[in-house]
Amino acid sequence: MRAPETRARETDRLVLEVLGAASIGLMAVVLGLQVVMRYVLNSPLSWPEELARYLMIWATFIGAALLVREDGHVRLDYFRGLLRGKLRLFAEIIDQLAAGLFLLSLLWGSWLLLEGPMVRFRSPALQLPLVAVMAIVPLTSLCMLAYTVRQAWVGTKRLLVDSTT
Amino acid sequence: MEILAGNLIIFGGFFLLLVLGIPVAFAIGLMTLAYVVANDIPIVLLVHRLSFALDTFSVLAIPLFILAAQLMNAATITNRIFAFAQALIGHIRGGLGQVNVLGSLVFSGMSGSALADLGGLGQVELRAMKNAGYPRDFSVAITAASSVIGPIFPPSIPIIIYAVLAEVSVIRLLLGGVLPGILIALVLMGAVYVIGFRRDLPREPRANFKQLMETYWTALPALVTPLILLGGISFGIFSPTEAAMVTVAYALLLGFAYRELSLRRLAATLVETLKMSASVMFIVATAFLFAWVVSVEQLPQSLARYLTEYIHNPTLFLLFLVALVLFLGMFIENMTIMVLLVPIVAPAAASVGVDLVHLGVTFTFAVALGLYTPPVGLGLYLVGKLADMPFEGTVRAFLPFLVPLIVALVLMVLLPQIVLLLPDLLLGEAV
Repeated sequence: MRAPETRARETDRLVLEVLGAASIGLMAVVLGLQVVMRYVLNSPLSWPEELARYLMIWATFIGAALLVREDGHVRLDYFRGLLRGKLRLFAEIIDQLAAGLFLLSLLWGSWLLLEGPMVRFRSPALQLPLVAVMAIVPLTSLCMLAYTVRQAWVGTKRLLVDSTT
Repeated sequence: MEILAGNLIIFGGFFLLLVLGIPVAFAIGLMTLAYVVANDIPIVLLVHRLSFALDTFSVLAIPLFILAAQLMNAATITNRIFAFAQALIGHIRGGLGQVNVLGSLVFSGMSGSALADLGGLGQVELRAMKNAGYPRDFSVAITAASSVIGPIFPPSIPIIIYAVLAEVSVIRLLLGGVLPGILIALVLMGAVYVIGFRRDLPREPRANFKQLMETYWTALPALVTPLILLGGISFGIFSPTEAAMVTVAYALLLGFAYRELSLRRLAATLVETLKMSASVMFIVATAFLFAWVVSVEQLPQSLARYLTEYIHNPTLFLLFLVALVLFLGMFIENMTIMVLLVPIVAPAAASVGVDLVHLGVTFTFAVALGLYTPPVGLGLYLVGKLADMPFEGTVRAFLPFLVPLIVALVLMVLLPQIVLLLPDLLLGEAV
């Protein structure tokens, strides 16, 4: 009964991990190829640096989503650690909501960006549509927003349960 | 005046969020968002700047160096480095303490962060010292202290971040870290020697020539890495990003040659690298947003105007700055200090006459020391966890080593040549 459910709950993590690890790996491969082309074969290609930079953007946003999911972003937890009980839970919820506010604006802004004049632009070397590069921003923002809302919801429920007992 | 008040509110709100424990990247992002909204700047501009902040070739070196260090750890190259260092200098007073410092210096030639040093080599060092009967507090303290060489000796992730934010040559900065890294190692070895006598610490039996050569051969590939890296970038063969790529390829080759790496292990390493790199790069991306606001508001110019009324001497300026960073480092996570201060301080420092390469290396060192100062000290926290020692005990054990480290920092501030000699020699004087 429980196994398929937990597997389903892990699907998003797996998808993010595979996409992200592939981006990092491909970035390294592409840059490695360029080093060989430049220093061994003496005929550097025009596109590897560009592709590597775009893969970096992908990897960063995907990795950031994973970190939100497991609450792994760098932060100062010393002062929050001084708080106890309900107050601490309250601080955690405020944090999630504040992060959510930023993510919401990121989602909105990136949507506007994709709708804007950017649609027509292509990358100089590969002729890649920039929309494809940028699409990762609203996609991962949506993921991160969902994770923060979920964590805020879990926190609120715990706060309510604590106050009734 | 009104604008200033608005900015103060935004800044105050930012610190409140930071103290409450919101992830640093989101706190910086929210601060910029508030600024953008308050000044009627289209939000699209903010998103565009955030996404393309990473669209520069130099920052690609950061994930690559993280990947290289992860691969070196996965390939158990750390054990080989330690064995060689032990055969070489284990017989000096304080034996494994000295080995610990030398091992960290060698490892930092492949890795660019203190926490990578602690997580990989640190474990090997702690285990070996425990088995040899060293007091736990001493082992913990020297393992922590020697890991500070990681972000100073090239490659260095914080130095690359500084270079990108302050718009200074990455190559000069990386070369500038070589002598300071060696200086820190020497100062720490001196401290170990003194403590070794006072506490009558054991030494290891002197290795015979055959043992020395054996460990030398197994560690040789690791010892050669910094030479490839530094040789490649200082003679203008590689850009730092390409040098990072060569290091990755080399680590991969060693991992498979030593039969320590499998495809499964490689995939796990990639996922680990993905997370570590994203946690750095996402902050760096938001730091570019912050740097943009700072430059629009002309903060460095006002700071410079204010400062030049009181401070005319570049050395005095640096001393003041380093003291400020050490103080902040007690409370604030080190990367946050880096990305918030550099955009403001670097232009101001330049106008007072501080060399930006000199500033970069000393500043990075001061920031790195924040990893080891309580109450917020991620490095101490990690090493305590590895050795299963309470935080208070770790702090007390570490404090004696803070003295030689601060001495090294002050020396670096007072004698710019320690930083600048090598880049000036290899690349010619900066214009």
